[in-house]
Amino acid sequence: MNRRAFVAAGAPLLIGAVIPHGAPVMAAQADVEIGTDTGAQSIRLALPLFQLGAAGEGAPAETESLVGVFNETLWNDLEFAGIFTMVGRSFHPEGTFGLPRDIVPEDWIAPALDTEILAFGNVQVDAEGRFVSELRLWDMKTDPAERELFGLRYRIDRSETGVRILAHDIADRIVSELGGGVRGIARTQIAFVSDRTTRASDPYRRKEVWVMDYDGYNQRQLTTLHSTAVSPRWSHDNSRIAYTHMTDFEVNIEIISPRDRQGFAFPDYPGTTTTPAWSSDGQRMAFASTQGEIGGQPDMELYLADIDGENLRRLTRSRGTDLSPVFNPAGNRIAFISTRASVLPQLYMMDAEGSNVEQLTDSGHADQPSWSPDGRTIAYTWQPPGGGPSDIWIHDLQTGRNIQLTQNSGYNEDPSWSPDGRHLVFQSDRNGATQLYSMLVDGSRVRQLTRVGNNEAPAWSNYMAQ
Amino acid sequence: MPTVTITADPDAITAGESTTLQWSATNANDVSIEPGIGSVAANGTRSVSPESTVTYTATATGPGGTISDNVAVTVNQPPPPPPPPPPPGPTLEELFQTTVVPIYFDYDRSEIRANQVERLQGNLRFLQENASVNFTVGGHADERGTQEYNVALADRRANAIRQYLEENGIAAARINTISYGEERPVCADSNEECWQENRRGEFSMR
Repeated sequence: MNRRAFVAAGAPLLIGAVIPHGAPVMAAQADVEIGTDTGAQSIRLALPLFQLGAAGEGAPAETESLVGVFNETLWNDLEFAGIFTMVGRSFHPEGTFGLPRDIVPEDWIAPALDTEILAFGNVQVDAEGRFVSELRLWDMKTDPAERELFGLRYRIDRSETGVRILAHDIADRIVSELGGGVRGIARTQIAFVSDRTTRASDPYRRKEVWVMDYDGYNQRQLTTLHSTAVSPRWSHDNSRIAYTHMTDFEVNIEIISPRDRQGFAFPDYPGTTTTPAWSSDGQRMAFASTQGEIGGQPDMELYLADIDGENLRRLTRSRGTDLSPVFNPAGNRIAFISTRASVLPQLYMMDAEGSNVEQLTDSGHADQPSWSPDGRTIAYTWQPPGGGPSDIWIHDLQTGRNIQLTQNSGYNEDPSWSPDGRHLVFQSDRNGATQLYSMLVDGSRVRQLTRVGNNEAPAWSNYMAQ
Repeated sequence: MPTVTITADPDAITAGESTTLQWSATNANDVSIEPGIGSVAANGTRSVSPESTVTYTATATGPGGTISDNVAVTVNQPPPPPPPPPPPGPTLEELFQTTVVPIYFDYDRSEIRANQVERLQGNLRFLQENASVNFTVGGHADERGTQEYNVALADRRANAIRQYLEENGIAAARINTISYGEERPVCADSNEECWQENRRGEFSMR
């Protein structure tokens, strides 16, 4: 496999420098197979705690807890990546392991640990009060001379934001190094709607658009609608989020910048306009609207328009609801749901121009399609014909198989793929209130991401620009 | 043989007014008028104010026997007093709110249910009789089903009501529809009774 050369540091927000240590290494790690449809692939990775170095003497007590946040975040990132089996710390040798001289390789490759990859390092506080962190990634199953896959030094703000970015960036670099072409997702974001700002005086539960880090931290409110938002969707460059805004008087699509909350115009069409879908090139928007008629009556159909509303085209003409369009990654197909042939909506697929319609499911209530980044599968919400709890399923477009990912855990809805195609975020009421959860696509490593209020309609961002 | 005659002038009065009885008898030892007057002279007049229609009988008794004469006095009841001014009536909006009712739907359906037709016809009558009223039909869904799909489902419900009203002569320009999805429940519990209350089309004046 092609391994990236010694990692060039210098990610946004980071002052990074390659540790001046040996020559750039291009180790011949045994090829790693990463299934995109399962989290089963595992590299045994040991991650001893990063220790706060002596240079941090006199640092405030909170510094120690920031290092704790860093250690926890990095562990969680790597565990959730789904390509590692984390070697339990109770099996680690005794001692601290901040520097190469602290490592006795035989201790780490002993059968009880069987470490394939060792990631270790330390954190110090520099004269300006910033964190300096060193990380080394060692391949324990190769020749000692080629052991070091990379070494990195970072300097970063001594803040919780700083250590989270640091941990996420390190995790992404490790995944890139070992993932066989998979990119890390630790720097991605998730948009969602939350009712947590509802006040007692509000006549109904208001729902605003929020965004958060992919692991549930750093949650922040984007909109102040004092009404209801539904269906947030990231543009492919992550610069905009389209969503459905429901007021007392109309239901329309609006667009906001997640960076500075600036709004962008999208036409107010007559009737109800909802479920926006960005085209892969970010130039066009597909959506559902009742502006047209079937048999003289308004009917919800799919449309396509430039993102400024120009060149409006109608894509469907069938009585019944056509809703929730989503483009495939190539941008030439659209999946959606429709009640054209059944009382309950089913999953369909068509060309982006509206032709060659194919029905993909034929029973129950299929809803909320999300096309996987590799284009091969569509995740969706499915509820059995008689109603009752819904679950997350994926439809394999090559085999036509439908695979269930959640079960016996309340109502599970609205899956959205991570950009690496290995994870999904969804909403569930399994613990009472509706909250957001992420998991690997095989249904494992479920993590609860939100806890305040009710949180719905998650949308995973694309990769952040590096 | 005695004789007697009795007349009333006028012989029809309104309650509260009076009339004059006049009588005349001959060959009589005793003359009496009933009801309510008793023995009187052989000739005379008397003002009376009966409260209801009555027949006065004058009876003369003399050596040759007894004889009577009658006169009916019709008493008309006065017209009722004019009613007090009515309290101020309900406003059109209040009438709307008390007359026009929500229409309920089956789970995951948007057709007008048979047992809702009567309710909808009641709404239709009010809207026909009050042609100045423009209104909004808001469609609602219960919490089941996805937030996204319920926007469409509630929209279909509002439009099913609008279509029924249009087919029954309500001008399209008077009707506005809006979908509230599952976002504005009237009942917060998770049971069928509550869900049914929430699966509705609601009317409001605008």
